[in-house]
Amino acid sequence: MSEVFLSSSETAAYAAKLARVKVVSAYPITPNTGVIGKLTELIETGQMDARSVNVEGEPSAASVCAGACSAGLRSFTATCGQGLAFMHEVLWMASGMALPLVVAVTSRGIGTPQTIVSDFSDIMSERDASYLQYYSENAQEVIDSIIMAYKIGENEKVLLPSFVCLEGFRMTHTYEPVDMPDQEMVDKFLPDYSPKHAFYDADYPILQGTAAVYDFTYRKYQQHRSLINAKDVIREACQDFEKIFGRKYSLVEPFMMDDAEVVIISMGCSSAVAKKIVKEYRANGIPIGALKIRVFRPFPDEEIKEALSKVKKVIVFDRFNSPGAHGVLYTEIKSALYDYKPVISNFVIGHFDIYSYEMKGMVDKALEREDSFEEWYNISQPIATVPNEFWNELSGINNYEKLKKGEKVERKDVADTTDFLGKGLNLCAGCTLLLACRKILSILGKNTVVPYATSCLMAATSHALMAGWKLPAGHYCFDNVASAASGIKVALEMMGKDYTVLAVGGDGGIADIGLQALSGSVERGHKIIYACFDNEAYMNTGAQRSSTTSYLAQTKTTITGKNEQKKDIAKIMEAHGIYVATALPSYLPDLEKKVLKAKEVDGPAFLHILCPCPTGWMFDPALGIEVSRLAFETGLWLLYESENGKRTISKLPKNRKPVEEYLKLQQRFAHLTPTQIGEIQKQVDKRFEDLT
Amino acid sequence: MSIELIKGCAVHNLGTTAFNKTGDWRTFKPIVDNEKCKPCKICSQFCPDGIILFEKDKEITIDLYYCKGCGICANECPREAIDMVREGI
Repeated sequence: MSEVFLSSSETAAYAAKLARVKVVSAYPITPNTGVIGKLTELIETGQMDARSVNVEGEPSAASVCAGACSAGLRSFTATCGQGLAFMHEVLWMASGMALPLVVAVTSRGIGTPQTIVSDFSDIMSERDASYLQYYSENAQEVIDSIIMAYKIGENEKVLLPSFVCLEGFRMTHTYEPVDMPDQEMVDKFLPDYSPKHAFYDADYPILQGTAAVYDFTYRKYQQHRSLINAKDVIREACQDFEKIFGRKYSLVEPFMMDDAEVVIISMGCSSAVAKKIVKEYRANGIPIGALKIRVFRPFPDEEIKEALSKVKKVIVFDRFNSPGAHGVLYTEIKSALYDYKPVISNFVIGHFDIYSYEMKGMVDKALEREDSFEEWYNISQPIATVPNEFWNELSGINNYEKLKKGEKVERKDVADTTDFLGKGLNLCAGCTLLLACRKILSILGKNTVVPYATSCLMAATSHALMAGWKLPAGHYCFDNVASAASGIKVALEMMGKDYTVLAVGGDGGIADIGLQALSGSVERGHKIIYACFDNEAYMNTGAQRSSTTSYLAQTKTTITGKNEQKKDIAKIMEAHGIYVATALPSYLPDLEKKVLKAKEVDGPAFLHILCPCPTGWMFDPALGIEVSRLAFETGLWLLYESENGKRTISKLPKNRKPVEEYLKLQQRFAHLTPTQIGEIQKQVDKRFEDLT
Repeated sequence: MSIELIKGCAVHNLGTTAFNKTGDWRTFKPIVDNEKCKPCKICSQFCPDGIILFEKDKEITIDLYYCKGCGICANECPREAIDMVREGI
């Protein structure tokens, strides 16, 4: 073993490496990006013998892992929040198929409101998916839990997948000293995965994923029994683990529980805070202990009863409350302790980072009171203070109150606006997407409704207290902007509102995760303008590869360059027989012409705009327009329109420049060899000739 | 003065990002040479933040409260009338 200084994200990646995971598949979502970034690094630099499959959405990530596992290989994914929710169906499928994959959940709240902060609403929503659920307190526990999760899940008495929770940001982005186990020790603990129940072999053919006849409830009972059996398997695995690695684990972790009259119960990293304050209380002679619930599924009733049978008061800290009911952990603890009836109180701490003085305050309160109570911690409506110089310009604060009362509302905040994106947007300096979007909105004007996908633009414009739009606009999800736009258009038509609907997304929201919704919406023929601001990667999560990333471009998930070609989303949309136009932020009159045309055409219109991203493409922010212009002048990006299957070139470069001039400005292409540049030149030449 | 949160994540007052002083991000500040500037407005067209205006169609003003100092204006100016100067020197 060696001591290293790592974040929990990195330890999760190292755990997958040590467990000799063979297939990794994940989709970028904050805060799981550290896990997949590290895994990419380990795989691409040859430190880990595995294949990484970069997919177009979370259901695909889970499906790739399930597919690989059903073929007979160990697989691993990481996700959280909306991503875990989007995986929902596939998660249930994988447990139903008894595929012991491991999902590292970098917990994050599920929106709306969209958030990147961590609570347990994501993982608790999958409480009943028949997964083993481990909640880690620190980076060491992450690495150990992942290794153990494979051992336990692959045991034939269990054969179920597992979640290992590492709290988003609180753990994924903080660094700690970690004992890194040696590979030989892990190999001794965790044998190769050699499934006897599910694999593919032509000499021994089997069928997987059957439908139920009369066996549906029996199958559910099987899963239930597997989880119940898992308790003993976990206990044994913990003993084996201790023998080899010297670290002691169990389903629950009691701390200073001897003679304790009051016990604090928590999960995840707030357990460390609980331990700290328990020591303080003990120093003052107050008999308090702490109990960490490390394994939430299967639920360790026996251990909890044993630990708490003589306790007078129990205080449960919940990161998630089941709306309309109670804290989830609280409910289960209460049920487990039915026979003993201690005073049990509940604090819902939600997403808050809890400091020891805060937890101590809550515990003090519970110590003072004699009854059982439930309370949400720190619940008050956040208020934004408006600097006085803006008050007159933006006053509209009472708009809603006036509207409800039926009074006339004078909207000073949007009066005489010609620029429909606000100022002070948190988008990087030199963002060409912002320029293109601003231009399009000013052309379309006031009577436009803008549904938009999750993206950089969304992150910069969509806070309740910092709203960046000045026309009707709404954020839905990452994958559904085109469908939401369909609904909006239909409703507006029915209400007789002749507005333009502009559905906005990035390359992810339009060409990757949102492609199904887009294709469906376009096929239905709604008169909507769909705009794809293509910056060739998932920039909002820190520049991971997308399907429209250029060939050989470096991203966080293609460290040595992307090996696949850029998906031609414009051509795909042309195949739908609609109006399609390509544009660049450097040629604004051309863009204007195309936006007006898109507004006029009878039916759907699709605009594909290449938006150079100084941060992700790594060039001087002053050069955004120059890079964009070079994309045209080198023939790499063609400006054309397509209507009724007929393509018209809008503009041609006079003397085509070598593509190297475009590539050399961007650090993401800095690793290219002259041969590779030659290869790209040939591809550009071919595409240019094909299209012109 | 403060804004209240309305149920259901809807906002009835827009453009409130205007409180956000993105000018604080700036490392380089655009300085315009008015002698060289013949108001062609190319800088204004290409400013991603839409904060370069021409009063009375002539005099250029850059709103430094928001200017992030990207330098696109200086790079695109055909007459090299804008210099990017390091802040605080």
